[in-house]
Amino acid sequence: MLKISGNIIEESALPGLFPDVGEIGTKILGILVSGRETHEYSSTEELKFEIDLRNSIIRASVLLSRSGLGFATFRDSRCNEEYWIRTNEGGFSLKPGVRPAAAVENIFVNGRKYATECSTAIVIVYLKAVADVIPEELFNELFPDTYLMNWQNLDSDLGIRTYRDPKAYLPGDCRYFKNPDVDPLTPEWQGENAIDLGNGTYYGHGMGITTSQRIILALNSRRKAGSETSAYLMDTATNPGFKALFGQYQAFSSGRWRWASA
Amino acid sequence: MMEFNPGPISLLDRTRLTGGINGLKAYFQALAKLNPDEAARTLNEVNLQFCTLFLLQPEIENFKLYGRLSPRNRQALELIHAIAERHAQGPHKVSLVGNNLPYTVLKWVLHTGCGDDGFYNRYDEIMELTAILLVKVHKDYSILPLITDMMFNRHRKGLFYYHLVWAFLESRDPDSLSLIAGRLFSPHPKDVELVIKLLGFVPGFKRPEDIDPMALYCHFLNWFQENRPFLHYTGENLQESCNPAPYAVSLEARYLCKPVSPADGKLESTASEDERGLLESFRKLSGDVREQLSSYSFLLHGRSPEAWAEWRRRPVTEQMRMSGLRAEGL
Repeated sequence: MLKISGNIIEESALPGLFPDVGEIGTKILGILVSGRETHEYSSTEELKFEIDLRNSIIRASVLLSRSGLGFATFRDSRCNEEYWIRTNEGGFSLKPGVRPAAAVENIFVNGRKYATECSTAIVIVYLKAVADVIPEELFNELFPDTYLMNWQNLDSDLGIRTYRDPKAYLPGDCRYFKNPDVDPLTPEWQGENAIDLGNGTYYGHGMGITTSQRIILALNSRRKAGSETSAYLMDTATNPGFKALFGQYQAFSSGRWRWASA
Repeated sequence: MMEFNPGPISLLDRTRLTGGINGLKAYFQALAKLNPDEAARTLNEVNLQFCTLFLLQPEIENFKLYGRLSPRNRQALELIHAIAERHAQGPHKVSLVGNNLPYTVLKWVLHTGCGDDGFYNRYDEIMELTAILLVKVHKDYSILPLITDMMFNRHRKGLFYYHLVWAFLESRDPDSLSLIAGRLFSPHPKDVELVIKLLGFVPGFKRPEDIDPMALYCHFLNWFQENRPFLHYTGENLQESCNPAPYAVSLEARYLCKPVSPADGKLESTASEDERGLLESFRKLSGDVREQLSSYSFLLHGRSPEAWAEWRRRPVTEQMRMSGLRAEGL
């Protein structure tokens, strides 16, 4: 069930309220309106923003898969030092004086100069997706201390959170394929973070764009010898904070934004 | 528990500690040139520390000493080489070597090597993979205090520590959480930061700006004591989530007041027919109601086992009424 400003939205009203949301947007709305659980939004603009951002996440996933970004464990990660500083733990810290939007964009332009693990790739996707839907000025203001290293030390403005047994699974969600019997000497293959592209395929860094079956097969090939316990898709979904980001975007657009640098 | 280095420090370790890496290498090169057998003998000393063997790899190769080394040293070198080559040759070789290394060698590597953890990227990788093997393959949980030390030291120095956290959690032992909680009293703010991150799944375990470490520790302890019989490992870790919950409370177990296996969350004793019926109704409740009803059951059981036994005999709707919960979700 979909509720906007406290009102239940019928499926027949969707085309009028949300024209031009594209195939993915239509799919998202269909899931929201037909589910048993209630999905609440404060306004049509808020839901439109989430749809735009989910679309942007999918586009950024495809772009990153074509960028030449290498796969490496944190011990062997690498980055373009014109934009980022590689830290001792293998993360990438934004170089002082570099604009965050330009640094994120560089990963997509010069992917071969970078290598990291799958979870960091997802954070890169999120940042690019957000950069593509909000004004650059706001993006640079929101993410001045960007640090890229899996799910930790994230900028709170990105609002990333993992939901267990979420109300619904939507295109643009980051899902996790777990490999419970991974070979103990290859811990980097204990699971794969992958973006649901909404067409039956997923983008997982190191695996590319592929189906869930192929991701599971690839993980199974990295199990300990003799294991018969298969990798599987977990009942979780990780997402950026759509509502909080919309709040920032709305404040910026309406001139109510409070500049940290002011 | 196996003891390492109970005797005097070995000649080569003493040389390393007094003369540094350069002093060690200079001494060993001179000795190997003059008397290769004696050089090998010093390496084979029972009290040698792993770090010294690690540092002298090039000299062992240059002076062709491998054949004169003890089985312990040869096997430890095999592990070093396999890990160094794992990215070039794929994971299979390292798995073959690592999974077949004797327990005593792994234990020696970790026990005598952990003190030098953090000095070199590849060395640290050997330490964490050895810890993972000991916990996951050999089920040796006596090393958890060592892993805890390494985790917190690395975090303090800004080094990669996630695989150590994984090794630690894979013990699947809720009691090990007290090793983490104890670090709340550390004078290093970075240690407290890591405790908050790792125990963030405990309800109400908030950042300690306005709360003293003892209060936070007591909060953890109260939660832990109340839920210990019902805690089970979920497998979540820092790789898959920004807010991992490596342990969860089995609400069904708390509702029945029956302990679960920490490793897989299954009830330790088989549920009776009566209990299975109760669980069937319990599972139909919403998450919040299940949480509250299981809490009530546990509290009542603690206050009066007789009253609890009487309460438990009632249908779930009646139990909810008696506990002051509304029958939503049924």
